[in-house]
Amino acid sequence: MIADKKDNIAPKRENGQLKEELQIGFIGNPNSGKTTLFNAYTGARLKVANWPGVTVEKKQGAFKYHKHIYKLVDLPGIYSLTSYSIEEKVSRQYILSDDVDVIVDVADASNLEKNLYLALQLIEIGKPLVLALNMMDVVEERGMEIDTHRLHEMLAIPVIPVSARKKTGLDILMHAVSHSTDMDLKHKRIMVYSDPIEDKIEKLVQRLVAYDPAIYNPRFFAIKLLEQDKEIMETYPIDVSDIVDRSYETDIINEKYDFIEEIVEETLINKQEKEIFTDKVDSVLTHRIWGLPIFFAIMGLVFFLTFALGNGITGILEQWLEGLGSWTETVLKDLRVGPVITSLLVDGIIAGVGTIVTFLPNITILFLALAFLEDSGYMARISYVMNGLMSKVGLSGKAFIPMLLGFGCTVPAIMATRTLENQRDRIKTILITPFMSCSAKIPIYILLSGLFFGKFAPLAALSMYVIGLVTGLLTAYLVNKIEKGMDKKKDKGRGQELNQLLIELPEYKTPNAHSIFIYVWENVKAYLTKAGTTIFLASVVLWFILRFGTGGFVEDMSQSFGASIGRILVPVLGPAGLGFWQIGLSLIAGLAAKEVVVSSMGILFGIANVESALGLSAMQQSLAAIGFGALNAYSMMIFVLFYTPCVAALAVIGQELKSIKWTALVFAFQLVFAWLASILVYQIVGLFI
Amino acid sequence: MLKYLIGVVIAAYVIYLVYRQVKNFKNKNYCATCSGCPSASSCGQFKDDTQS
Repeated sequence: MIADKKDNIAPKRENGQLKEELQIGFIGNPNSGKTTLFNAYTGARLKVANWPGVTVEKKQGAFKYHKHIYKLVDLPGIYSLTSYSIEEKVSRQYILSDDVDVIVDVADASNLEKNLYLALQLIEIGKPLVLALNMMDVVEERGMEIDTHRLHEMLAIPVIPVSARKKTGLDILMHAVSHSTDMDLKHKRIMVYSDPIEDKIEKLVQRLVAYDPAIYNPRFFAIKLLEQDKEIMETYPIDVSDIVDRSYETDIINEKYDFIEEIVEETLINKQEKEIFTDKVDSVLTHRIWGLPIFFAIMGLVFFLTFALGNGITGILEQWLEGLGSWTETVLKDLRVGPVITSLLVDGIIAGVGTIVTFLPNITILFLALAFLEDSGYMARISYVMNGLMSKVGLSGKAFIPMLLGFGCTVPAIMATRTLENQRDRIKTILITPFMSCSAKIPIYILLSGLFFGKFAPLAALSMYVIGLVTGLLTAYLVNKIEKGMDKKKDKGRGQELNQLLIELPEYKTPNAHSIFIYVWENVKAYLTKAGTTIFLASVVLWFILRFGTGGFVEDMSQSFGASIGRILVPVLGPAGLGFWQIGLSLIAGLAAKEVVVSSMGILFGIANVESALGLSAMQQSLAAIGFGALNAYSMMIFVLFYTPCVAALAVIGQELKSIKWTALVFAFQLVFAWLASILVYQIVGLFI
Repeated sequence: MLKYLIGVVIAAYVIYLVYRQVKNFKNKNYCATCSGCPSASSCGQFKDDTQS
């Protein structure tokens, strides 16, 4: 809901003096560099991403400016102050509240026309406002110039050129902010509409003031009533049907853009730009035919680097982990702690958690590569490249964004399906999103492909992503066909549904080292935190069921409860080349978190450091001893690719679908699909080798 | 004595992890950590929406 209309939203003063503590809201279009600017002041660890809506909640930070404490709030990237999306609602709520003293509108100076719309709306709110013209370095590179003095005259607010990336203009911006707290915009008429609109605004203002004499800026709310803004209409439930006979939103938008055109005409010099680097690169990277193969080639390179560089720098970690297990065992034996506790610590916790930790170099390289691609602006292109393909399989282009998120983690990917208005599209997307290999599966792919595929290991790992994507799209296509068939039988058409992908493609830029560092560090921290919590828990539980049997503590794991559980699955998984109780148990353990499959194998085969040459060799021998070879490994990778996601993802699926029946269907579908796919691979490929 | 101490410490940590996981699930926080998640800040939003 919107801020209480009774809130006094006038600028703050204490005893006639300016407050020493200011609350500053950073607002702006997505990709305007707002978060980079925020980071430049606060050093806060916020991710700078290219998808709108990546920061929905406001992020807060503080810094000292000339002995004053300034509290900054980074609001979501929005294009306007309507209330169509959660991001817009959150931003508007904050701005209209009593919590903000000054608003800084961060605009992309190289795209002034688009960014001024929000600026005009903010001016209409009437609160103290400063326009930060960001990316001035890009403006200069393009040979353009902005008459900031004239812009200031036309908008009647301070206009400060800055470059968040190069950290220029930051002091001047804060200087302008500190002197803007007593700015009174509510009496200034910057945006003047046509006579009919102004006439209606005037009448609405009178009605609003009569309803609420304390209303801060009735003109802003009058304009919103004229746009038939639902939230404002609920906040001010006055009868205006005689004035607002229809929605005037389009008229208001058009008139604003007419004014923006005037502003740009007067302030933007040398508008004719040189051919932009971005357009040149996009003509190749988003090519209608070559865009997709180039994407796969880039991802192939990412995996190659993950293996080549990651394996190359595990040396230090290897030595440390190799030593830890044997040192712990020796110390505990000397302290006469007993075989059970020794086994728990060495064979359970160190083997389980240690196995996951050894993949840290590979994971770090992968995140580094992905951060580079994201910060350069390329990742935003992938949705665009995939859009054509998505529509061919009956999915809206929007559906690829959850699928893309699924490459990181299935949980936020499932949540992101909320952006799909059509329920059928949502269910279809939820069904196929788990086919996108989440980052938790990476250690499994690295382990198995590293063990069995030698120099083809990167290719084997990459094939999981390609197969997952292709299978997901094919599944969507088939489901779409079935739906159409069923609709025809029921004589029911789906109707024309507009679910178009609208995405902003940012300019390509040199990745910012600071942003990349933060992105990588956040992901590494998450990985290590998971190792210390979920993986730790799973390792202890797994150790227990592998070291205890009906006769109590067992040295031979094949006599344990775990082995009994694993053996139940042997006949079922046999046709897929996975008929080994150790593998079955690992796959069950993978329901907790996919990384647990790897830590389970570390515990099961008694190898803590599978990334070391010794560990790899030992694991190879252990697997060979039970008859597990390259084909079995690839079949296992296929099974892991498709089978049920982790419990967290399942829980989110249940929450989003709001149906136990559908959740159970998704669970069963993926399990059976994985089983059939791995049988197919194992049996058919087995005919040729 | 030491083995009991180690055992108690590990057991306490395991119980704490289980308690935390159950509590998170009840609050519809399904992930171990938000750090690094592109939708971390959306979690609260979606939670609010499902509870409203």
